[in-house]
Amino acid sequence: MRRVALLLGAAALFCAFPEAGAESPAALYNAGNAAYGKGDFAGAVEDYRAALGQGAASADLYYNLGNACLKAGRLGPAVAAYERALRLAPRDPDLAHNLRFARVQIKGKLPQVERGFWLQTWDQARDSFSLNELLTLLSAGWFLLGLGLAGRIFFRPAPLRIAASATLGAGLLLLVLFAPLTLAKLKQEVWNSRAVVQAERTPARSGPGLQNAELFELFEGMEIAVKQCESGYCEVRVPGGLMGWIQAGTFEII
Amino acid sequence: MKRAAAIFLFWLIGAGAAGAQVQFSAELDRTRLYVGERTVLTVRVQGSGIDASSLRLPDLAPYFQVLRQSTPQHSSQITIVNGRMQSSESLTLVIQLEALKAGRAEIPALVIYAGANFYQTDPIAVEIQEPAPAAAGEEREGWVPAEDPYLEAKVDRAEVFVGEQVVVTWTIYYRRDIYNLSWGNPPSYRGFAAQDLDQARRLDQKMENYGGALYHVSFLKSTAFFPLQSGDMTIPPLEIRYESAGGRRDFWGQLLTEGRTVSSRPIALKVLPLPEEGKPGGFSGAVGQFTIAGRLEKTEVPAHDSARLIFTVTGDGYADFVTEPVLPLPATFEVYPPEVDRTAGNVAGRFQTRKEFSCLMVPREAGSFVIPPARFDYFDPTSRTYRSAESPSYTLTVTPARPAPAAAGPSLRGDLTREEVKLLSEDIRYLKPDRTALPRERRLHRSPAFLLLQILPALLPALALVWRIRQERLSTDLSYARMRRAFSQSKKRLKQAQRLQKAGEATPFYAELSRALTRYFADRFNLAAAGLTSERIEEVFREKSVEDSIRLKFLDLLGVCDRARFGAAPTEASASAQALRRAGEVIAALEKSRP
Repeated sequence: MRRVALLLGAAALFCAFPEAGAESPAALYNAGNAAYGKGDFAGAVEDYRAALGQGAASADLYYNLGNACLKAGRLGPAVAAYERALRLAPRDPDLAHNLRFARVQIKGKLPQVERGFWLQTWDQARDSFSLNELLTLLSAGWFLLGLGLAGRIFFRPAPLRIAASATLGAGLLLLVLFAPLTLAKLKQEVWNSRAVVQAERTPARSGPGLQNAELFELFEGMEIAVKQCESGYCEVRVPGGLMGWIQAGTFEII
Repeated sequence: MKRAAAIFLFWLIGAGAAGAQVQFSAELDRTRLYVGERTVLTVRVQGSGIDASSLRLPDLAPYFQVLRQSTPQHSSQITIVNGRMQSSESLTLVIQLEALKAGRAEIPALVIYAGANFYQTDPIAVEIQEPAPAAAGEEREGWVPAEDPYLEAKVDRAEVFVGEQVVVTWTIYYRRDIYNLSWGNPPSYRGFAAQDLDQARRLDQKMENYGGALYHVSFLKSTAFFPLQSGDMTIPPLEIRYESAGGRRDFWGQLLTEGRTVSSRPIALKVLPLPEEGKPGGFSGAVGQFTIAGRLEKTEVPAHDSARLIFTVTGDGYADFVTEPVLPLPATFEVYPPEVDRTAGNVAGRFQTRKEFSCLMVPREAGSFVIPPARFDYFDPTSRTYRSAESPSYTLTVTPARPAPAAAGPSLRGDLTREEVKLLSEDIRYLKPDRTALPRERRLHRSPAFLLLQILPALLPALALVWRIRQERLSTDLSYARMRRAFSQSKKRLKQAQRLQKAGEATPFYAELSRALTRYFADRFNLAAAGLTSERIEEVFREKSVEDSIRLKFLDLLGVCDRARFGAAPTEASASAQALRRAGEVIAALEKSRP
């Protein structure tokens, strides 16, 4: 009986502290911060990556990883980490500054398409929310719409029907406002395979293989969208609209 | 009868009047010709009473000979307009002529009879010229196109160096009429870089004489080729699709066209390797004639400010081989990789590349600095030597710095904006602080619980609608309302009966039990409870085809209740409990039976 009680106690302890024997993600994150403080940027990168390996994923963790990568001279991984942090914390001013700083370090530039005022406003609106925030707002609109409609059917007294109509209107408004933004965000983050170039420089060719002509060159840290892969090459599109094939393994999907 | 005869006479007069309207014309498809060129004369006549046999071609000698004459295309038509019958016939004749002699010729008027009248066309004046001489060039002496049509590929040189431009021009020669020209299968230029220079939008109307025969000659396309390897190489043939008249005719006698293709001959090229002797270090492979021009945007800048130096390399070599010129700058200058702007096009029939290199440099110390000439090395195939094009040298005065910015990071591009340059003088913002716990990433779009939850808002209105419909029916359909409530009401009555049974009040218990049964029955079948006898209940059971077992149990139980109420049956507690249980069972069975 006593042995059973001891075993049960041990099991309870293990459940309460599942990471006993291994450092917790928070401990690894803090260790990374300490290493960064001492100027050991490579060590900090390892600690942050270990925290990510344990399933932790927060904007702060990706942000600090980006900083450590940048200080360690690894521009591609830094931009990728900042981009991941931006998905979780799109309005963080520190993150926006550091990502802008990292982008300036990119050693080449491709032709950019000038976006008009309305398109810029649209991009800003889309980038001001995370996908989870947009989905929550859209879901709230959807629930209000359902509740309002059910209330309109269910209730007979005028005040309750007015309240139901107001709920319905609020739901519709949320849907109209956030459905297009959510679709754009889903396209940007889920349906398009976005990636960051990790190789110092890599040529983009007209087809998969060395026999095809070089069209333009991509540099470490550039952001691309991956369309398809074939024979060890992937067709990518850069924000300016140029398309070409680069070797698989020269970029990291974010 | 008189009236019918008058109408027929009126029609005849009308038809005769219509027959007087004869249209007669002759058209030549071109009135300016070369000797030996062919042309088509089309004669059309329309009206009634036409005598086709009266049409005679005039003597066209000595300027023309008739090559071919089609059989007359004859058609007739009867129309009734405003009650008047009009008959007309039309005749079309196509005659192919060949010009024989230069000069001002005239196709005389043609004459045709229609009824008692004759009609004539206008004479047609034609100018016939002597043919143009064949294209210049020794190799053209006695040359005749090998086929009709003939697609010729001409190359401007047969021996070139690797990377040297060679221009191929495709020309088509034809005598027969050809239509709907289009490019055939695109060739694969393996081992070459190719750039199209020019392409015909429509065929030229130039005529040339080869071997005594006149040919239409039209430029089609020219392309610049840059061989990428040495050895004996071949530029593959170009294919053209076209249509021309075949031997078959359609139902109406018109000649049908057939789709055909014609290809040029492949071109053999001898490609020489570039000589190793005298090859400059870092030679980019540019072959041709090149020039370089330069421009310094500012001649005076403060230290740590940027100055831009722009070089433009222009030449007829392959653009990818034109790389950044060599620019030996002072060591105190920080130089960023140049921004490259590339334009290319057709200049005087050859491919010309223009590349602009815009270099951003940041002098870190004050002083006067001479920027030496930028050098671009290339191979000149004319002199077969390596040459260098050089820009002028420039002097840049660097004044003492404004307050120096912090050291910029490793860099960079030459196209930085002012804001970006400012950003470089800053640093990244510091780390986020330590944490006691880190969350796991939660992605709503991949969460099954979140996605399932989204079904709820769709269900709510549906449920409300079902409820609303039911409520509407309950308030308007009395029989439905009674039927829906029958079971719940009977349960209440059975509970009341149970209380009486527990209190030991036998007679009121059986009375309540009997009421529960009859009321349930009345509600269930929408009948009046008052005056409901066992005979009536049995009759209704039969009408509704209720199972016999339920019917018998129900009637038996009613009988028990009646007998107990009037002292003819045992009223002990066990019997009343059994009666209560049986009542519950029979009501439940009837509820389920749904007759």
